[in-house]
Amino acid sequence: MEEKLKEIVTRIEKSTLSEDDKAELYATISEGLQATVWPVLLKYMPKEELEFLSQDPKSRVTVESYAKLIEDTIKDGEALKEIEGLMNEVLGEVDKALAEEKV
Amino acid sequence: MSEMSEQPNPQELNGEHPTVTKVKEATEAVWKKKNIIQEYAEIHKSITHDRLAWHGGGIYIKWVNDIDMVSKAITMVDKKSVWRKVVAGLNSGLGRVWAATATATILAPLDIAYNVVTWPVRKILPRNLVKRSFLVAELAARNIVLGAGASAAAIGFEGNIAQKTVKATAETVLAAPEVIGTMAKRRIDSVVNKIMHPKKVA
Repeated sequence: MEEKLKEIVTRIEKSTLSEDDKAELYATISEGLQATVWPVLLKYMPKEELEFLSQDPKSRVTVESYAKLIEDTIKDGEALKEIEGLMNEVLGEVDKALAEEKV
Repeated sequence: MSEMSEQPNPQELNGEHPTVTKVKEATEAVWKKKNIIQEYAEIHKSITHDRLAWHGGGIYIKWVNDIDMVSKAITMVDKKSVWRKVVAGLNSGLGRVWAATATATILAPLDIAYNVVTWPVRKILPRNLVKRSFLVAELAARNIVLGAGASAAAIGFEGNIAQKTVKATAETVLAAPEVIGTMAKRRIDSVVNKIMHPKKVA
């Protein structure tokens, strides 16, 4: 993923796009990468734990309980593997889009 | 949740560069192709692309609402040393790519809260990058909203390592385009490094 990302950023930097458009592209790529995170996490999140916290967030949500929720979600590594796979796909699609735009 | 009518995308009306549009469509294509929770993807897409179109019904909406409530609650917690442990705990034993993702997940709910809360503000947010940065910092200082770039300071992470780890990831992976846009030298390595190499917490 890192190599792919570096190649994409290099192409954008070398392009004739304006600085504003480059910034917009980086933001779009970041959003695209970031958007893969929560849907996958939600899929793997222990729903009973989530529901318990959401029923009384003021008193039940602490850093400890929140950290436990996240850790329980990612501890077996499956969620993170899926996220990484999706990030690679996003970068693949971005790569194609840039090529079509001759960037 | 009742459905609101979709607003036209202001970027389309404002003459967005075709490359930017193409890249946005490319990222959305991944959401559509994969078995991502569709309703969540639609909501998040709406938020990140400056539209707010909620869809009613579905268990996924409940989960999104649940995590949103949890996210908002957690952003109000002020326990600096414990946050540092959370970051350390997630970083330890994971590969560097996973660590970057894991660190980003801590701040991902802040992005949701940020986007939902600041929707009216973001509609009229100036496109000038400097002004946007100022506005984000201003809002964070008033504790009205936690922008991704300002969130680390607003939460008050202790220790420069934890702060750099979170801030570096926040600046590039999360919704802080103004920070990416203003990086000067070694932009390529800097962008990639900040996404992929968060500094380890001691």
